[in-house]
Amino acid sequence: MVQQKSRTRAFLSLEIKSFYRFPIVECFVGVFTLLAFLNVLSVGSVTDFDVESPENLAGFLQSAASALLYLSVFPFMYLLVLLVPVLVSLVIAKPFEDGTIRTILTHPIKRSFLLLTKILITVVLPGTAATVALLLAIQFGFGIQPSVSQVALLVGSIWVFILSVASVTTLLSVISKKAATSATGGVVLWYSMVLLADLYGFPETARHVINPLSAALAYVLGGDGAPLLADVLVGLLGALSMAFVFIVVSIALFERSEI
Amino acid sequence: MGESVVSVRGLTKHFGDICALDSVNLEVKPGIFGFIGPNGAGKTTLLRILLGLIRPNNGSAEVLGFDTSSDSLAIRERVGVLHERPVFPGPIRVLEYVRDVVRFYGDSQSAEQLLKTVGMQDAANRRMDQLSAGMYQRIGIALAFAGNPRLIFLDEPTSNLDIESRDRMLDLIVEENKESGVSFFISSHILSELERVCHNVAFINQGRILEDGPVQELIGKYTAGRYRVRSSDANRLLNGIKGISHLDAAEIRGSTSVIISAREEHLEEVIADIRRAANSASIKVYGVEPACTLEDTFREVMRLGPAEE
Repeated sequence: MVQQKSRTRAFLSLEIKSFYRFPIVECFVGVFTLLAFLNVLSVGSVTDFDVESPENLAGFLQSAASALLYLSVFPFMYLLVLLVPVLVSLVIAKPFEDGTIRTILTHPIKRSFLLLTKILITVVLPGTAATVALLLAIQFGFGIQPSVSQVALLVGSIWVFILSVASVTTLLSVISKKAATSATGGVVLWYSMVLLADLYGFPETARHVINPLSAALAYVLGGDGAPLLADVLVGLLGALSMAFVFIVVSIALFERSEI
Repeated sequence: MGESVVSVRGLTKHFGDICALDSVNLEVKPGIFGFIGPNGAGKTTLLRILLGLIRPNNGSAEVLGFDTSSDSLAIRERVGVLHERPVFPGPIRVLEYVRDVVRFYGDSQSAEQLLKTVGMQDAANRRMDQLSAGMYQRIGIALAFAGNPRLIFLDEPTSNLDIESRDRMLDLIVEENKESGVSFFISSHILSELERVCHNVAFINQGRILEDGPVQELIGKYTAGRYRVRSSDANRLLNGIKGISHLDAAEIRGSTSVIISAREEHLEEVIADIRRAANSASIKVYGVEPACTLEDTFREVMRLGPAEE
């Protein structure tokens, strides 16, 4: 057990020094924080408000708050769809290409542990950055203050969404063993899926599974056509299950990979 | 079987249509073992199977008594490895990297000690991607000793090293084997070095083991009756000595050497004829000596090819 802890610490240390050096982490935090503040600033352009019609102020604040929250979260999705596959490919596929995976696997490390740890870090980094940015956007916004459970739902959906995107790109990385292929494949696949899910007539449940973040957001904002909490939770569960399956398949393939 | 550090039985590995290993059987006893073969012979493939990095299509292999397919973690806890062209993460500092690697093993020399062993203590604070090829190689060698391994696999350990570092490396191998009982499995093309350090060797070509056994025994077996004639012009000498009686075979080796085969009872007569032929063609003969190095043995084993089954 002590030995396993030592190995875990050593591997985490190597991973962070190898892949998460300046400016990767800083860029992640920076881009999400910037996004949150830009969205706070962009609220001023909401058209309902007019200084000559101060009676619309309350309506403006309400709509602006919704817009703020929407704008804060919605671009996260597209940013995550872009950044997570690139990060996963860099961390999982690239070592196959440059040979460092062979070097690390000559030391006593289980392949499943290696892959799971890499996935964990690629989820934690953007997940933390996106969560902090979301909380900042909510804090510095005005009008709407989602309840704790609503914030928890949004944060949870961000993490599940990141896990889904990471799991698919992990599978692509393990199969292709090429960083460019898996990054491009991951981005194109997720953009296509997210766009497809937005099409009219796309099955609701499938839409929530593909994009639980969007479903959670629609639920928090409420209004006509907002999904029920149960639908959102089904979407989250479905996305989690999908990620679980992709990760299990990735591990199984990685165990049999020729290094 | 119990005594072997590596035991391979009927190992076959295909990469598509290419047969990298063809029913390989091999027993490696404790000591220093040299694995010799031309490029693409299957040496690195066997090494990768022994480390559990790839799986064979058929057959089985054991390292230190552990099955390579099911117990690769146990193997990797007990062996050290230097890959051919090792690759390390670029942005890490040498000492930081070696320290982290040492932490993978329960019992190990310290990172500082390992670096000192290979004369790299002064480069401890340099980044991996700023090292020369030779320094990089020495880091790889240092890491192979992490975890106090019982067996160390070295794939081309002295490539990129200067003469002094090579000598130091070879001395280290002999010393570790003698004093700590560490066994070595060395794959190299520099046969003079293997001859210097190895107790046993095996020759492999096209995925098949051609011969294996104690070094001196194999040299004696394959080079008996073979002599190297050192001259000023090997080409002309070869033409001049054709037809000499009792000369069983002659082949050119580089620009100045001709390898001849002759029975011992005819040797003096053959040498005298060669000197006469050289004199008449104005070729200088500097000496005749037994061609009995591991390299000579390797060439002869390759020339004969696999034994008929």
